Amino acid sequence: MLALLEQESGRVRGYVTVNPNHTRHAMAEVERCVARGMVGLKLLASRRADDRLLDPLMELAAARALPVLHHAWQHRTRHWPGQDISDGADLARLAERHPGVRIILAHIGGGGDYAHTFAAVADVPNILLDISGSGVDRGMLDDALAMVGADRMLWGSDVTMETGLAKLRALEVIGLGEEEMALVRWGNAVRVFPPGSFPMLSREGGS
Amino acid sequence: MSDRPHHPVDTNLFIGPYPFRYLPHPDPDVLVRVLDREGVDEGWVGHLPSAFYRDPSHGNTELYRAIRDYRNVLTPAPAVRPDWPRWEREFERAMEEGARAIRAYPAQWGYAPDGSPLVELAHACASSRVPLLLTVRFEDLRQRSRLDVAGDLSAAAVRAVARGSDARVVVTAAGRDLIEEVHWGLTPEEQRRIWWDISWIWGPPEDHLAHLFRAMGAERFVYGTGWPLRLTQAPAANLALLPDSLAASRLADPRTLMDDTR
Repeated sequence: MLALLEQESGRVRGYVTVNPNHTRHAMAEVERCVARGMVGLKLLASRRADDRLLDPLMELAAARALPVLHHAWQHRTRHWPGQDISDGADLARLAERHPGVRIILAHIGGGGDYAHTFAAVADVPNILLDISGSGVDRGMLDDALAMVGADRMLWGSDVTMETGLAKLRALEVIGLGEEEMALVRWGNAVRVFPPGSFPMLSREGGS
Repeated sequence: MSDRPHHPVDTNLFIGPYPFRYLPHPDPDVLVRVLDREGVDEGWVGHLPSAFYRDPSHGNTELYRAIRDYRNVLTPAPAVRPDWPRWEREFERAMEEGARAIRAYPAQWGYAPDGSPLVELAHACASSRVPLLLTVRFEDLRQRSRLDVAGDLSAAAVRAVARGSDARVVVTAAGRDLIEEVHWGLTPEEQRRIWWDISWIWGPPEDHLAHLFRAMGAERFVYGTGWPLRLTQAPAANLALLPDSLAASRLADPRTLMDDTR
């Protein structure tokens, strides 16, 4: 990832991905990668989101003004390979313990009951929803907009799984105004990531 | 009308509510506006709740009534359950109502994979020169209700129809795995009686759609979206993102599926 950042410094930004089960290593890895330009923290889905083990990393994220990206699915009724499942309520508890950290709930279209997710995080203002994922249910974007508002939705593609083009097109027909559309497409990202993360964009306007 | 590509028919549409989650306004007047926006001339419309009725005939009545004022754009694709008493009369009513296709839900009706009642319906479709329309799934497996236990349509059920009848079959909401399992389990003649809607086929970067177009030919596929369950933008986006070498690919026109059976 660091090599890619160096190669594509004009348009690629990086999350440092860490495993919260190895706290000391994870803390050091965050410091190392942020010093080399990474702008966010991605937590491996290897602990429930409300686990106290995540607290030191969240405190470090607050100190470095890093957003934290975390997966959440509501399908507690079954377990899936490779995922220690968290749902929106788990993530909401983490966010409420760390109100100074912006948390990006990854992939509302990534499977699971997104309607449960929206309800669980609606009243937690430091959680934003990334709209990416292979799920393309009609009504998903409308419900997200109704529950959290345009200032808590983030455009995302989920490349290299998806392109996200369908949702980018669908944003045009869910009733967003021009200003709200700009927030979802890029404005919220400028606000959430550390200052200077997107040199081609400003808080005032697009590229 | 938008400037996006034109598609003559969307084969995979419904009206009516879905039992396991809320759908925003799944109504025919809204559907007509969506089709216009997406550049689609005609929609083959089923009645979504009927998939979960034991006897779909009342749902068909609702379907015919609901789309009556929109028949210039919406054509009925009613459901006929071939193990239900007097099903032949329901089939005849569908023909009288101008059905473009006959829907069947063997998974929801609990048919065995060999699909014997389904083959009987397929014979009727072939005789009346109307396609049989099958649905693999309505929702992503990862979010289904605990009450939704029917499971996906099996490849065996599709193969049984292709091998056991001369019916033209449109299979909607299939992914690459099922498409390949069926297609490569059929003779070339049987393959030519099956079409697949593209609503559930993954696009790039992995691009199952491009892979299937190369392996099977785009003429084996028809346009379908799964509205109101799925975003109508998804299949159109995947077509727009086809590699240059496939950009000129043309899907089959669903209105011509029966042409060589005259």
